[in-house]
Amino acid sequence: MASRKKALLGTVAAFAATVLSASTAFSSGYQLNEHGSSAVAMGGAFVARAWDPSSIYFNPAGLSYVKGFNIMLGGTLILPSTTFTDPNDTQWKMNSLTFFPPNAYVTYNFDNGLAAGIGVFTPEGLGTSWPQDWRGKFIITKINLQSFDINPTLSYSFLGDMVSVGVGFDYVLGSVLLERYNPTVIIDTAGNSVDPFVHMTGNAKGTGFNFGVMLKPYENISLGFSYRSKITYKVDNGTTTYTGADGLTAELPSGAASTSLPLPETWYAGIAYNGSTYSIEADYQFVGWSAYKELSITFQNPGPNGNPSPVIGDYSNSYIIRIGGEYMLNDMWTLRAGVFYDKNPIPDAYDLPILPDADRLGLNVGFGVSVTNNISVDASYMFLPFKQRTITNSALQFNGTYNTTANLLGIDISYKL
Amino acid sequence: MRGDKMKNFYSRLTDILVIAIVAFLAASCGDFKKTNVVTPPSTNGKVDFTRYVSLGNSLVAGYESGALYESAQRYSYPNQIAQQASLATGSTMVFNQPLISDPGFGILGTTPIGRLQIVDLSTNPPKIEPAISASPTPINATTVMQPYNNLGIPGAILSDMMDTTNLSSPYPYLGSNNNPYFGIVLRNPLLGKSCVQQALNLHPTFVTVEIGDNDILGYATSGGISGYTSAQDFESKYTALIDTLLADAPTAKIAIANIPDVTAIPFFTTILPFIYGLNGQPTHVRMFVQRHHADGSLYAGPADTLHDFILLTAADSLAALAGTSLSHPMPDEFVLDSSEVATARVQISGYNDALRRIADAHSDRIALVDVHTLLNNIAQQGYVSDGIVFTSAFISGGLFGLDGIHPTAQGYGIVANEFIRTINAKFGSNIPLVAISSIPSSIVLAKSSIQPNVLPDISYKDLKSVLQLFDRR
Repeated sequence: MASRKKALLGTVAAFAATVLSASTAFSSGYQLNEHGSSAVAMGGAFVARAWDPSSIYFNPAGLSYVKGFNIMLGGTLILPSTTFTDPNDTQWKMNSLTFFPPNAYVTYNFDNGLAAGIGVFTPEGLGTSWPQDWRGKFIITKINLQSFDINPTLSYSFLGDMVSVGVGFDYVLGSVLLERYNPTVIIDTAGNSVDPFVHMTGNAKGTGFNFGVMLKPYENISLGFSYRSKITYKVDNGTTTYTGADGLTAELPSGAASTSLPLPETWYAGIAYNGSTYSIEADYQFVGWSAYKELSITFQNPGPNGNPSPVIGDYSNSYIIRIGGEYMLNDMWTLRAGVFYDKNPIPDAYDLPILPDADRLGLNVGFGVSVTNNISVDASYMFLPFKQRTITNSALQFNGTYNTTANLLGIDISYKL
Repeated sequence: MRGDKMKNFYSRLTDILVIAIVAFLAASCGDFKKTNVVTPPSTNGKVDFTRYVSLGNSLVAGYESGALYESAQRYSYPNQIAQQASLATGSTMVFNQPLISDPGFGILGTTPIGRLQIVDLSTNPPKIEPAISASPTPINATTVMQPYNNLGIPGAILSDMMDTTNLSSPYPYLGSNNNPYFGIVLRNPLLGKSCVQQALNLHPTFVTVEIGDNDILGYATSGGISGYTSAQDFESKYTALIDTLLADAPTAKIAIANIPDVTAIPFFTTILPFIYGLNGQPTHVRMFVQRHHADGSLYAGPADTLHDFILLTAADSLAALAGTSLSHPMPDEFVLDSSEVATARVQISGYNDALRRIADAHSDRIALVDVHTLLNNIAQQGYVSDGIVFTSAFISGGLFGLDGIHPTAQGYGIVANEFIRTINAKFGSNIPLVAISSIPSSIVLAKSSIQPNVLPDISYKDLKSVLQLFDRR
């Protein structure tokens, strides 16, 4: 019987682990690459140009080409829509959630090749919320993740600006919330189910680094490479509360939950052609998701049953192909467009409503407008359809079809001195 | 000049990229559109559930935790099949069952009882008691004026299906007592003198049959003391039953279930053949049990831990330290020893071979539902649905009720799905499967302090047992 008890606690703790792993998952499935409206409008193909303050994210080497003192503030409004259709054709709609991950960059160019800046952005985020009584309520009813990356950066260009290099340091703060029901075999004499509701929260911290190189071997050609290191989130203060399980809490895992989560390394490589009134760029982005194989979690008070078994993720490395460009209509207006294809890293068996993921197509348009000599505004719109994904071999036997689309509206206001 | 060449090259490159993007978009757009992947539920005209009749034993009746009661009967697998078939046809079919109000009606020895309930979680295993039920209270016995669609009779054996005397004659396995379920299910000889006759009087268009489990289960649950039906006898009687159904319901299609391994259920797998320590956990020391010599004579000896099974009913003897010494062995009636297991398996194998032959002989009209393999697979690997993990473990596994033999509502749902899968595969229908996670749990925790949706405030000591109940993973 002890093994069954352990199994129960394993569930709760595995759930805890799921909670925490969700932040990892979101950084992939909902990995945010929207850190500057100009770049977003061009399908995120920006590493070989990176000529505005968002270079702090896209390629720190680009900072040397951003002249003067700059402040860029903005964000992206994300409006996702997901439905799940079960094998009986019953459909559930994810409760509508909107997110506004902000970005802020400050840069200064010393005009001797050296430039410095600091950025704050949301490397990952978003969440899902399903109806409380939906079919997957024993897997997930709600998850919410927030994160901030504080990224001081230095850049230096030389050989007559033919070569530039940049480097940055990342300090990341995050938080996650997760809720679901825990199934039990019990009903009361009135025939009501007794399924405790589990609510978990955790905070994460991590550090990493990034660097970039930009080359301009020919007048119109630029090459960019940007690397962002794997960041290991450390969670050491996860908390769990149970509703409808008052008598159980003494034996459930409790106290500070700690774990570590890999936010995988990613790199971008791109080539751009820069004409007098237009430019176009193609990028390849690699995301090292194979770093996420499984996750284990330990509780301060694991109880008599010990800590849970690791949660399997078994992600694959993934990539994003980006193409985009812009056209300067006149001194005031610039038009932009781009497209990308984003390969999801999650095997079918582990594609769950915690993070319903699929290959995506990003269709982007936008514009930039110089309002005054000092102030400019960039705006972007992205339509992000996901491939319809039908799961038939879920490890949790939660099979069905996911459909997701998202609309993203971005705006940045830049002040240049 | 060089710059111009480069320019040409890159403008050509741009053209190529644009073409590639357009081609890529054209090729992949279909994948990004929402399309319906669910085939609409339908019987496809291949099966007709207009008048569906199920016959057989307690497993057909929806018997659970030692009793027949409404809230369990609602999830009998035939009723779940009927509901899913209604989804397929788009119209709700009538499927009458002999409903008995909660807490239902069971028999303990000769005493009528209600369903079994957990009343004390501080013991290991938890203390289980029957709910008090003075007499069965039929809900629709006088309002349903035709035979019930669900003709599952708890306790019935194969020969009972065609028997025309059961409504008035003594029932063999209950000594001098009649099996009262015949009266509850069949009610009145005017509706048909036998189970099969009542089924035929409904002019069924579809029939499911699950019978024969008790023909060997009685032997197994008595530790090898009661008798069993021989495989030869089984085949001839089952053939007669099927031939009657085929002939007298000439358009009906039939699904028949085979017989599970008796050792796939928690009645036989919960108490292990080891001596239990003071902590309530089995040690590595073999239990002393009464076993059989080759000539059938009894002797006391250490259990064959791989092949002997201790019955769930041994719990009280276990508490009285039976099995701890050669002079105080676990009594024969609580032990299904290796030779008895072998005997049971030979019979079951014989039954199932017979069922296969019968199904093959009428393959245009009969589908064989392999419940045997289903339960063996679940015993080995568990069963996962929508993130809930079920196992064959007693209570905590969630698939078997408190008698250790009969499924829970969710367990019956899994059986219903196996029927539906087999029917769809055999006859080409597309009846949708039951969502197991949508079926409520059904093990009753009877604590006076319990409030709806709130766990009882129980002592720390109780928790140890409670926790065993709270997970299916």
